[in-house]
Amino acid sequence: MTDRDLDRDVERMHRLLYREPADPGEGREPAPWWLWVLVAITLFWGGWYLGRYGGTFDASAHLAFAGPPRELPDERVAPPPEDLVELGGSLYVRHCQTCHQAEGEGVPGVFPPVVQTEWVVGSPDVLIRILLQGLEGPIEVAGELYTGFMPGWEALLTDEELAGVATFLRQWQENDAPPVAPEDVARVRAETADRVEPWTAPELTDPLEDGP
Amino acid sequence: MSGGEARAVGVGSALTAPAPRPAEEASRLPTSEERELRLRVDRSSRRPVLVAFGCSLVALLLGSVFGLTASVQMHSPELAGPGWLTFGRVRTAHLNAMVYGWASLAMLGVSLWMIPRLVHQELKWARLAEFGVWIWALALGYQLVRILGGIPSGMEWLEIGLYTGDTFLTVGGGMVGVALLRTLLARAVPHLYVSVWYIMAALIWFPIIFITGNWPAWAGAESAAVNWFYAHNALGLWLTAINVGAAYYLIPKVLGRPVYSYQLSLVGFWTLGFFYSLNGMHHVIGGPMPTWMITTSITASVLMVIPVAAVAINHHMTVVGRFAALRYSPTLRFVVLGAMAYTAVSLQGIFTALREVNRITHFTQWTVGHAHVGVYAFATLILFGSIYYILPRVLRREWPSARLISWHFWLVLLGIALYVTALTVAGVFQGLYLMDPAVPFRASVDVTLAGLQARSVAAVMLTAGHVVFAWHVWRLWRRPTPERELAPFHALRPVVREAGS
Amino acid sequence: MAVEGLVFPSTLVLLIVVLAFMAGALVFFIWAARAGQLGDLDRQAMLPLDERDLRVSHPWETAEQAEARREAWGEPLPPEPGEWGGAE
Ligand code: HEC
Repeated sequence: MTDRDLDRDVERMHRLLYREPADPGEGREPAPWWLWVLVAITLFWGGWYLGRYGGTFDASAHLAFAGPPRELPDERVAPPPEDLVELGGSLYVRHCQTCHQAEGEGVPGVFPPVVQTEWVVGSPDVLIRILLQGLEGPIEVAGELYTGFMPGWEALLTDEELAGVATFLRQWQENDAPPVAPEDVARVRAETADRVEPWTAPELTDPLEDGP
Repeated sequence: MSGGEARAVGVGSALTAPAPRPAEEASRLPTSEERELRLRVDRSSRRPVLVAFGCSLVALLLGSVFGLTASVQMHSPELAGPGWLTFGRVRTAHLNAMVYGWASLAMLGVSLWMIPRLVHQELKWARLAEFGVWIWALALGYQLVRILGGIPSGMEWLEIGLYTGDTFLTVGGGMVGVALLRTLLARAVPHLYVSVWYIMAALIWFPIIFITGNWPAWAGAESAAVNWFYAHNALGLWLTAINVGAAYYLIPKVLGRPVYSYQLSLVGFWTLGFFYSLNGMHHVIGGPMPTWMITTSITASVLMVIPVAAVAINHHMTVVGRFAALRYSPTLRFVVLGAMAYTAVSLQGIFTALREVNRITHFTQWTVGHAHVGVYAFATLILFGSIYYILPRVLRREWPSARLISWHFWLVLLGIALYVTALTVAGVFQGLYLMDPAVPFRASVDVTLAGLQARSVAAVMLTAGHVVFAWHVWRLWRRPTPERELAPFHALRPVVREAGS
Repeated sequence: MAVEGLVFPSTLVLLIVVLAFMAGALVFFIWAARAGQLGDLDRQAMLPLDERDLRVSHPWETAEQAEARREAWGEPLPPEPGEWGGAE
C-alpha cells in the first residue's frame, strides 16, 4: 500500500466517522422533543392511576402461607347502608324482580303485585314474617286470588337488608307507609326462630293462630 | 467481553476504511480471506438456519389447515369432524403450531443467521445449534399429535405437555441460545448492534418466562396470574423482541442507510427491557387477583407507549422519503408493513388494557383479532420478509419468480386486513350486547356470525398465500445453483470492522 | 379457607420474577454503560451495513439522494438481481 492509498483510506475513514454520510445527521438524530413530552405525560398519568386504582397495595394475598388466614375487617363483609331505601331497592332488583316484576306489578294469576297491597303497607310484623319464612297457599291480593309459593329469605338476607327491602316496598311508588327498622326485623326473627315452613295467609291474618 | 477491549481499540486500527475502487473491479467477487467475511459467516450458519426455516414452513402449513378448520367450525358447528378434529383440539393445535412451530422456529433461524452477521464472526458450535433446532421441532411435532389426541395441559399457551414437551423445547432452545452466546463472546466487533441486544435478550428472557409459566407448582385460580404472565411475555419479550430486532437490521440494510436515530433505538430497547415484564396482568382484569397488581400492569402497559413510539419513529423516519423502495424490495415490503403493524398492535393493546375498554372487549372476538394483528400482521410479515432476504443468501441462488412473491404478498396482506377488520367489528358489537342486560345472550352470539364467516374467507386467503410461499421455497430449494459466479453481495465488506477480523 | 396444604401463592412468584427481570436489566445496563455500549452511536449505527450496501445504486432514490450517496461513498455500483431480498 502506498502512502497515497493510505491517505485516501484515512480520509475516507474520517468521512465515515465524522462527516455526514449520504444524508445529514443520519443515524444520530436525537429523539424528537414531543417524545419527551409524551414520556412526561404518561408518567404523570401512571402515578395518578396507581394512586387511584391501587387498592391498598395489600400484601396479604401474597403472604397467605405466612400465617393463619386473616379475618377480613367487618366493613368489607357488610358495608353499612347509607340509606335503607337505596339498599332495599338494589336488593329488590336482585332478588324479587324476577317474580314481582320491575314495576312491582306482578304477573296476573301467578305472582301477586307488591304495590298498593294491604300485605305490604299493612302491619310491618306481617310483612317481615312473609319475607323471613316465605308464603304458601291461597292468598287474596288486591282482589285477586293467588295460589303459589314464595321462598323465605331468612338465611340469605341480614336484618339490615330485610329492613331495607321492607322499607323500600312500603315507600315505593304510590305506597306510603312508615319505615321498618332493622331492630324490628331482629325482634320478629327471634320470635319466629322455631318456624321453618312458610306461612299461610290465614295464619297471618287470624289473631287466634300463632300469628301477630 | 471486557469494556477495556472496546475502549482500547484506537480509531486507526479499529476501522479499515473501504478503499475506493473502480466500479467494474468492485463488482467482481472479492477473493481475499478478509473480503469473504460475509460469505464465511453465512456458510457457518447455513445448516441450522435451513433446518429451522424448513421445519417452520411445515408448521406454517399445518397450522394454517388447523386454523382454517377451527374457523369454519365457529360458524358451521355441524362440520365438526371426528374427535380429533373438534374445535377445542384443532384451535389449540393451531395456536401451538403457529407460535411454537412457525414463528418460534423461523425466529430461531433468523437469530442464527443474523447474530453471526452482526458480530462479524462465524457461528460457533453450529452443530449444537442445529441439533437444538431438531429437538425443538420434533418435540413440537409430537406435542401437536398429543393435542389432537385430546391430552393437552389445560392452560392457554401452555398446552404442551410438561415432561414430554416443555422440557425438550427448553433444552433445544437452550442449545441454540448457548451456541449464539458462544458466538457473541467470540465477536469481532466490540459493539453490540441494537438487533443483537433484542435477539440475545429474547433468548435469555424466553427460557425464564417459559420455565416460570410451566413450573408444575401453581394451582387454583391464582395460576391464571402465572398463565398470563407467561402468555403476554411470550408475545412481548419473545415474538416482539426478535422481530423488532430483525426489522432494525433489514430496513437499514435494504435502504443502504443507518437507522434514523440510533439513540432512540437504545431508548426503545432499554425501556422494553426494564418494564415490559410488568404487563401481563392486564389479561385478568376483573379476575381473582389483588387489584393493585392489575392496576400496576395497566399502568405499565400504558407506559409502553414510550418504547413503541421510539421504535415507530425510528422505523418510519428511516424509510420516509424512500417509500418507493417498497416496489423494488419484497423484503422491505413485508418488513415495513410488519413494523407498522407493530405500532398498531401496541397501541391497540394499550387501549384494550384500559379498564373502561376491557369491560367491553374482554371475552369477545376483538381479542382474537388483536392477537392476529400481533402474531400475524407484525411478527409473521416480518418473518416472511426476513426469509425472502436470508434464504437466497444461505442457499446462494435467487428466488425463481417475482410473480409468486406478489401473489404471496397480496393474498396475505388482504387476508389479514379482512381478518382483523371482521373480528374487531364483530367483537365490539358482541361486547356491547353482552353488557346490555336488555339484550338476550343469544343476540351477542348471532351478531358475530357475519364476522366469523368473513374470517373464514380470510383464512382461506391466508392459507392460499402460505401454500404459494411454500411452493416457491420448494422451487428455490430444487433450483440448481447458478453456473456463474455468485452475485457480489454474497461477499461483503462491513464498513465498521476490527483490524484483522 | 383451607389452612392445611398451603399453596405458595403464584402472585408472590410473579413479584419475584418481575423484580428479577428488572434487576437483570439493570445489571446489563450498567455493564453496557461501562463497556461503552451506549456511546459511539454513529459507529454502532453503521454496524450492519456493508460497503456495498452504501455504494450500490438504489433505483428508488431521488437524484438528490443518489448524488449525496455518490459523494459520500464513491461511484455507484450496479445492483444485482435479488440484491434487496426477493426476485425483481
Ligand atoms: C319465586 C318467585 C318469588 C320471589 C323471588 C319473591 N316472591 Fe314474593 N311472592 C311470590 C308468590 C308466588 C307470592 C304469593 C304466595 C302465595 O300464593 O301464597 C308472593 C307474595 C309476596 C308478598 C305478599 C303478597 C303481596 O303481593 O303483597 C309480598 C309482600 C312479597 N311476596 C314480597 C317479596 C319480596 C320483598 C321479595 C324479594 C325479597 C319477593 N317477594 C320475592 C313469589 C316470589
